[in-house]
Amino acid sequence: MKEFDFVRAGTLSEALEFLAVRHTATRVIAGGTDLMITLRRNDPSWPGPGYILDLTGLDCLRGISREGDRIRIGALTTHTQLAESPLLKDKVPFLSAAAFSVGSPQIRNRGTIGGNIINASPAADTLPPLLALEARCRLVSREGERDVSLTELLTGPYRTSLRPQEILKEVYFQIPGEGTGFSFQKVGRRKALSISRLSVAVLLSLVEGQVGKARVAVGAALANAARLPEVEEFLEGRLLDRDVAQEAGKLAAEKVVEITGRRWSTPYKEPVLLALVRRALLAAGAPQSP
Amino acid sequence: MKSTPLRLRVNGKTIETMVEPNQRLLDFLRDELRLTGVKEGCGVGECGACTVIMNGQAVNSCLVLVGQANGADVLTVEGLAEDGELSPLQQSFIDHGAVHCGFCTPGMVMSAQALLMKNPKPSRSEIKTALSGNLCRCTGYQQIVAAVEGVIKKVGADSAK
Ligand SMILES: Cc1cc2nc3c(=O)[nH]c(=O)nc-3n(C[C@H](O)[C@H](O)[C@H](O)COP(=O)(O)OP(=O)(O)OC[C@H]3O[C@@H](n4cnc5c(N)ncnc54)[C@H](O)[C@@H]3O)c2cc1C
Ligand code: FES
Ligand code: FES
Repeated sequence: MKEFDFVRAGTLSEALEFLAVRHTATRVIAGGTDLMITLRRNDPSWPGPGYILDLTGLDCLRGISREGDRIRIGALTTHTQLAESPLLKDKVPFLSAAAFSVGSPQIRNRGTIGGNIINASPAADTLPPLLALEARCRLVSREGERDVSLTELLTGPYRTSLRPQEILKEVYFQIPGEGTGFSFQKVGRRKALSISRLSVAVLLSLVEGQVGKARVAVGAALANAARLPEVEEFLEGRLLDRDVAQEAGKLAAEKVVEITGRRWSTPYKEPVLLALVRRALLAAGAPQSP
Repeated sequence: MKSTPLRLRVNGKTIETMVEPNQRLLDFLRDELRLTGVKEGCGVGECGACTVIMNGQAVNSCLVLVGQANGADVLTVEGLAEDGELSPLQQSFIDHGAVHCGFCTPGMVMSAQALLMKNPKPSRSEIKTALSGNLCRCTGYQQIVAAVEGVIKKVGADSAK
């Protein structure tokens, strides 16, 4: 285990003040389910942080609330809270489903949405539904707040545009209209061979079978979880049936291979991604989809 | 590294002490408090052997920095027995042959305990979900699920008497 001093923030302004002065030497910790593993890794090229700043005492960063036509989720909200929230289960069930698919009960009880976002793993499970919802993130520092889209925040595998003095405070999105369909599909386990991991989140608004708005985001396929705009454009205006879902799946697989290039894992990922996109579209398009 | 003050409750007792800041809750419980029922298997959140209940929820104590437990209420397997008598859940593990080598048992029991605290009448699938973060190399899980189902039935039957 690395050596460091431990500081537990009592208030948000205390945490921001600490970061303003000591950000170069500090790492913040939330649930620790990603960071603890990094801190214990025997990596001689990384001295470790001078300070660990614990955010878990900041109750103001926890919780899910509705504000008008928006839902906001505090960064310290755990996967268990996301999975059990009646508001999320009602309005954006694919986000609760994604949170419920994370790790194990113990991991969901500690791991937070903020940690999932800022860790920025290509396979982070809450990211595809948040991207499909066009979520925005509120970042705070002693100097003030700024909002960025989740897409802008994610800059590469395990990299974000969060500045070292900043904390992710909350993430928010517009509540989709009545009649929107959702689906989150995932295959593979985290520890299983990484080629066998993939996830897809779909948000669809349908009027008599015709696709109005379509949002399709994939996880563990690209450097970061990301939307596939070409697939969304292909879908919009079409009547959703098995053939269209199949075509969209094919297009999704093609686009991913176009971006990543052919790799040793491609022969596996291509058909699985196609099948997942097709399945997600049909599930989201079905009335009262889960 | 500056040691930091720690105040928390463990198995109902309030503890105030100084700790090394880079200790895990797991190390503190085992090495300082000698609660060796808390096991270290993988050390990376995969096996559940280190499971304890913190503020009512099952957590992997290998992934919690001890300072993060400041002010918390922690329950380990040692806190389940009362007056030297095993809890009904512990007894049910024995009665159903759910303990083989025993390494996973404290973690399994704590995950099951956390479930029953939240949901006294879980379904089989809820039991399986609650135990999904705990690995067992010996039993094949059947007896463990049966032990949890057994205690639900038994407690139900006892309270109906
Ligand atoms: C056994 C196991 C299984 C897992 N399974 C899954 C899975 O199936 N799917 C999945 O997506 N993930 C999984 N994970 C990864 C992890 O649990 C999640 O990414 C979790 O959401 C991380 O949240 P945390 O609060 O624990 O983050 P931490 O470990 O506390 O922090 C992670 C990173 O984010 C930073 N950070 C945290 N909060 C903030 C904030 N508010 N502002 C600024 N920076 C912040 C930290 O400095 C750190 O760099 C698993 C992990 C383990 C150990
Ligand atoms: S030792 Fe903590 S989960 Fe394995
Ligand atoms: S009884 Fe041996 S690991 Fe479970």
